[in-house]
This record gives sequence, C-alpha cells and structure tokens, in this order.
Amino acid sequence: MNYFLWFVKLRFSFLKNSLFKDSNTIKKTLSIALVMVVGQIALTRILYKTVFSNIFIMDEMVNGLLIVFFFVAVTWIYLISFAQSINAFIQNFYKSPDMNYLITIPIPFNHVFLFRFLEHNFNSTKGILFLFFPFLSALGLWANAPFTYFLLIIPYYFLISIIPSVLGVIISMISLRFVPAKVFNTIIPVFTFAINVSFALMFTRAQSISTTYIIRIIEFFEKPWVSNMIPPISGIKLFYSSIVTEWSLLTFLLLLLITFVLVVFAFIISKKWYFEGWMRNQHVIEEVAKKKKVRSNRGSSFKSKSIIVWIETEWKMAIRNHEMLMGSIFMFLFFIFAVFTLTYSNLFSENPIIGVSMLIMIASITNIMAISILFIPAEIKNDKNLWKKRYWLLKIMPVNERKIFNIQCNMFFIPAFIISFLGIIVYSLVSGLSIGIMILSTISLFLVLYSSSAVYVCGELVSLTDFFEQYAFFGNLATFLIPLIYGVFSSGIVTLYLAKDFLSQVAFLSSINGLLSLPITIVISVFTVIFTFVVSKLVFEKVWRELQI
Amino acid sequence: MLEVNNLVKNYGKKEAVKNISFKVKPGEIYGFLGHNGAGKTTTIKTCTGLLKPTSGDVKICGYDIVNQPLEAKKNFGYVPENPYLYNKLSGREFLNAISDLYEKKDSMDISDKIESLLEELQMSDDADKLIETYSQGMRRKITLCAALLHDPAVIFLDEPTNGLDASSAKAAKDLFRKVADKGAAVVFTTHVLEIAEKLCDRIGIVYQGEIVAEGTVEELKEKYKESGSTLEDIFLSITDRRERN
Repeated sequence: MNYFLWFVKLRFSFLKNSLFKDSNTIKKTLSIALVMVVGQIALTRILYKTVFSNIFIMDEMVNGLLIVFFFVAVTWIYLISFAQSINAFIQNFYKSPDMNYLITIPIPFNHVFLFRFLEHNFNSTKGILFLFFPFLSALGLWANAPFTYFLLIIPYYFLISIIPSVLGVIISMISLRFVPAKVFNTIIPVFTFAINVSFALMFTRAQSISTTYIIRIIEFFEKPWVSNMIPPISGIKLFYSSIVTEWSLLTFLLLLLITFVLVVFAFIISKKWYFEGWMRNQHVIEEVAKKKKVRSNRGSSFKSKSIIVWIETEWKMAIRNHEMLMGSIFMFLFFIFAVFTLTYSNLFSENPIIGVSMLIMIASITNIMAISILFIPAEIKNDKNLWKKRYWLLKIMPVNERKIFNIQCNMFFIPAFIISFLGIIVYSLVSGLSIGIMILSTISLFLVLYSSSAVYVCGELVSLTDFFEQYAFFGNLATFLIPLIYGVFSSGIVTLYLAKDFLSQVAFLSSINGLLSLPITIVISVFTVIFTFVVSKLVFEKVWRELQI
Repeated sequence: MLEVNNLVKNYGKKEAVKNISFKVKPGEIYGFLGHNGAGKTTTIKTCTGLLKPTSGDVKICGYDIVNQPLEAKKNFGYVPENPYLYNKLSGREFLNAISDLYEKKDSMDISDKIESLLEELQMSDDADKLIETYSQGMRRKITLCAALLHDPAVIFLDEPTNGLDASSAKAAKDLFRKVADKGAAVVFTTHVLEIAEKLCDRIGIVYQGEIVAEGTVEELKEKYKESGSTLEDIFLSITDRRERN
C-alpha cells in the first residue's frame, strides 16, 4: 500500500468536504476566495503605491536593489519557517488530536511523521503567505516582472520554506530526545524571540549596507556552483531569475535536490526517534507550585477583587501558553520593528512627536492582538466551536456582562499598555522629547489602547455569533479589520496631520491632509476613541446576554 | 426550588424541547432519562442559561433564569457532559479562581471546602497538576468540585458518572446523595438506568423533547407493571411504544 497516496487521498476528501460539499459550501468557499483575492490585490496596490512607486533609482541599480529585497524576503522566510516549525513541533507533531488514531493504525511511524510534516508546512505557508504575497507582488509590479513571476510566487515560497522547516523539525526531534518537553517549551520562545529581534535589528541596518557589499554579493551570485549549493541563495536566485527572465534550471534542480535529501534524512531518522519522542511526551506531567493554604477574607471589597483575581488567573494561563508564544511574538514584531526603525533611522528627528503618534497607532493595531494570542489555548485555535465552549463557565457564573467586559478588556489592555509604554518611552528618550510630551503621549496611549482593547474583545465575541459562525472567515477578517480601522482613525489621523510635510509627495495622503486642521484632527481622534469604547461596550454586553453555548 | 414551566426550545425549525414542565424540591434527586438526542442536555442547558428558551420559564429558587440571571446563577452548580476546562491551570488553581467569582459570604472557609471536596472525590494527590494532564474522569471530578464549591441550592449534572472508574463513580454518587440530604435539589441526566434506579427520588423519561412518564421508581413500576419489573424494562417499553406510534 502506498501510504503517501493514502494520506493525499484522505486530505483531499477532507478538503473536498470542507470546501465543496454542497452548493452552500461552494458558494461560501467561492465568496471567501473572492474576498481573499481582492484583498491580496488591494494590499499589493497599496504597498506598490505607498512604498515601491516612491523608490526612484537608476535602471542599472534596479537589479542590485531587487537582490537586496529578495535577500530580506528569503531571510525572513527562513527565520519564520525555522522558528515556526520548532515552536509548533510539540503541538503539531506530538499533541495533534488525530495522533492517537494515526499511531494505532498500521502505518509506519516515519510515514506518520511525513504526513504531519507536509500538513504543518502547508498550514504554515498558508498562514504566512497573506503577508508575503502582496510584498513580493508589489515588488514584481515595481520591477515590471513578467506574468510568470506572479504565478511562481506561491510555489517558490512553498519550496523555499521546506528546508528551514525540515531543519527546525530535525532539531526539535533530536532535542526532545535529550531535553524534557518542559525545558524545551521554555527555551524555544526565548530563542524565537531572539531570532525575531535580530531580524528587526538587521532590517533597520539594511539601509546602511554599502554598495561595495552589494556588488560583492552580486559577484558571488555569479559563481554558479558555489552559490547554488547554498539553499537561501538559491531561493534568492529563483525569485530574481523569474523577474529578469534568466531561468536558472541548475539553481532550481539543486534546491530541489537539497530539499529532497533533507526531507529523506528527516524521514529516515524519524523512523526511530519520532515514535520515541511521541511516547515520552504522552506522560508529561507538570506540577504547579502548591498554593499556600490561606484563610479566605471575604468582605465588602470582594466585588472589585473578583475581577482582579480572574484577570490574574487568565494571565497565569497566558504565561504558561508556550504553544502560542511564537504567534504573539510575531505580532509584537511589528511594534518592535517600528521602535527600532524610528529610533535608529532618525526619520522624524525634526519632529519626533510624529514617531510617537505612529507608535501609538501601531500599538493600538498590533499589540492588543499580540497579547490576545496568548489567551487562545492551542487546542482551540483552529476550532471556533471550542472557542465558544470556552465561555461556558463564565456564562453560568453569577457575573454580569459589565464585569465580563471589564475582565476581558483589562486582561489584554494591561500587558499591552506596559509593553507599548516601554517602547514609546525608549523612543522618546532617544529622540529627546520633553517630559510634558511624554506624559501627554502616555495619556493618549492609555486612552487609545483601552478602546482598542474594547473593540478587540467586542469583535472577538461578535465573531462567535451565529452569523459569523456560519461565515467564520468574515468573522476572522472583522476581528482584524475593525481594530485596523480604529487604529487609523484614532491615532493614524494624528500622524497624518503631523507628517504633512513628509507626505506632500504622496498625492492620495496629501489630499486627505488638505482637509485636516488641528481642531478637526483632535475632534476625529477623540470622537473615534470615545465612540468606539461606548459602542464596543454596549455591543459586547448585548452579545454576551444573547450568547448561546 | 427548581421550577420549569412549559419550556420550549427550538433550533431553527427543529423542536428540541416541547413544552416540558417539572419541579424539583429541596433534598430531591431528579433523574432525566432518555435516548441520545431526546432533549435532556438541551433542557439542562436552557435551565442554566447557556441556551435561551424559545418560550416558557425556568425558576431557580424563585429567580427567573432569563430575567434575573445573576440571582439565579448564584444558586446553582452545573457539570456539563463535555466540560471545556482551562488546561493551563492546575486543578486547585481552577477551583480557587471559581470560588472567587461566587459572592458567598457566609460559607465555610473556601480553602477547607476545596480540600474536603478534593478528598471526597479522590483528587487531592492530583490537584496541583495542570488540567491538561488530566484524564477524562479527572476532568469530570474537578468540574464536579467546582459545581459544588459554593453550596448551591440546585445542582445540574449532565451524565456525571461518564468516564469515572467504579470507585470514583461510587464516591460521586455518595456525594450527590449527601448534598441532596443537606437540602440541595439535584437534577441529572444519565444513560445508566441502574444508577437512576438506585439514586433518584423521582424520574422523568424524555422522548423526542417531551416528558412521557414521570414519578418515583415505585410509581413508575406500579403504573407500567405490565412492561416488566425493572426501570430498564419500563424505559424500553415506553420508548418503543412511542416509536411505533
């Protein structure tokens, strides 16, 4: 029996049933696909218009810059895929719900490993590509790439990401033979965080790479056998050659060969090690420090105390949720990246308050989301139904909807505020902003972020209603889009107003800017914050009352 | 203590619960028997406020679950059939967190209460392990502890002995009897007719969303004596007759 074909058939049936089972499902699939395609095209256009179309360089420099961009893209693909496969290893390879079944049926363990690996790589590609595709497409538009380049982005991405993924998986498999899962789970988030921060640092320094080095890199690329043997460089060359239409069959074949060899190596070692690791990880028992027996002191302060106690309990769970830490770090990367870029680039050295306002906007969009990821138990991330069931306990408790709203809001807001505050203070201190401005920034951050937390928790709850349960994709989209729109209107508009001079070249933004004055900007911003908070609170409370589990 | 009047719950066009009414008095154990999909869980979920009734009302200690949810919720405990628990907490942390959400000022010291429940359900040794390492039975036991923590007046148990080993099931049954004897009204669903026969003071047999027979075991045996002498015979006879009609 060909196990691989069996697995492909199984996945195909699964996909067929979930995407094309009946006319309603087909309609749903097609409408989601349409939204995704339109969204990707729109993101590509926005990136092209706002970033790439403003890069004016001489024709002979285009190829050099293309290599730099692809270098950044491929490095990121490598880092993300590598870190993701290490981080998700225990969850995807050992604790996946179908493992108990797969292990008991007569399939060799290394085949089970291969199934898991393919599934993992497919899912992580799917998850990350929505960010990469617009970036690589916008780059293609800028460089007048042929149509084949756009068609090849996804297959190339998948191919390039296999090597770092398989390396991550091999390292995890070997590590878990020597290190207990608990230690592994503690080390890995620190490691992935270090990877992400170093990438952010490297990117902020990319502008200072001298042309001498770029020329040397180009020369190195022209040595076919040497460069083709190094997989990341093969990846860069593949993208590059598809833009300049100088097809490099040798690069492609060598990359394919190295990928194949590594996957086969992992396949062979998994025969013994995968099952051993799985066995070891079935009996991981984590003991928690026994809580000291304390006499309960229940008095008049109990009502407000219960909110704090429940938030503390939620934080305790979030801190132990190592499986989701990588996702959280990934979201924080946007903010960390922005802090580093603004601090090192001196971009707004004339008027650093623009930088502060920009950081508040980014914090309001990404930091609440980043924190919220830690509160999603790994076993329910793919199942909204379980997500809803998670609320059963709060729903049957004698806690009113206002209290639930406060709990949910504060458990995201407090850590997100602390992290955002630290980032903004670092930038403010380096930029030499006055204490008065720093206090004003902190108050603004507090208000903007609190409403952002409110709109996020509201969106999360609304996405569990019957309508969004039926159209889960739109629910997920709304939980991302609404905070984004809020960020733009609450603090983005202030940044836009302050950065008037910087944006005079961008026609679209400068035309909006023309309509803004200081009072109008303040009114829009304050109104957005207050309106969002009030509406989110009211909607949350109503949806909570109506929620059926 | 628990009063359910003309309860109807529809899922779209499907009628899951059809005009159900029953009362459970303090100190009484009321068993809900029925086939899979008969409407037992839907009834309990509606009673606990997890589902909204299409019509009818549920009163817990006189409080309406729809109009006075907070007061009603203070007075019951609930153990669902498949409880979703917080995997990243230890059993003890989970119970401590739950206890803080109930505003019970005159209860015995909560730590002592937790300890005694854990001991009674043979969970003391595992209370400091993370819930994610628990077996199904242990999860059920910790949920049971959580439901009984605040000395509720009404206790809803959905298949409470599923997944429990013989000794734990016995401990759980003894506990149900004990809390009922202390004055709580216990409502539970089960497929295991022997448990219902031994434990319940009154039984309601649910068939396709309706209570088709109700009474003490003796009353049911008397009323349906032509069907057989055990609760199993009576249950199968009633449901088969309905099936044929």
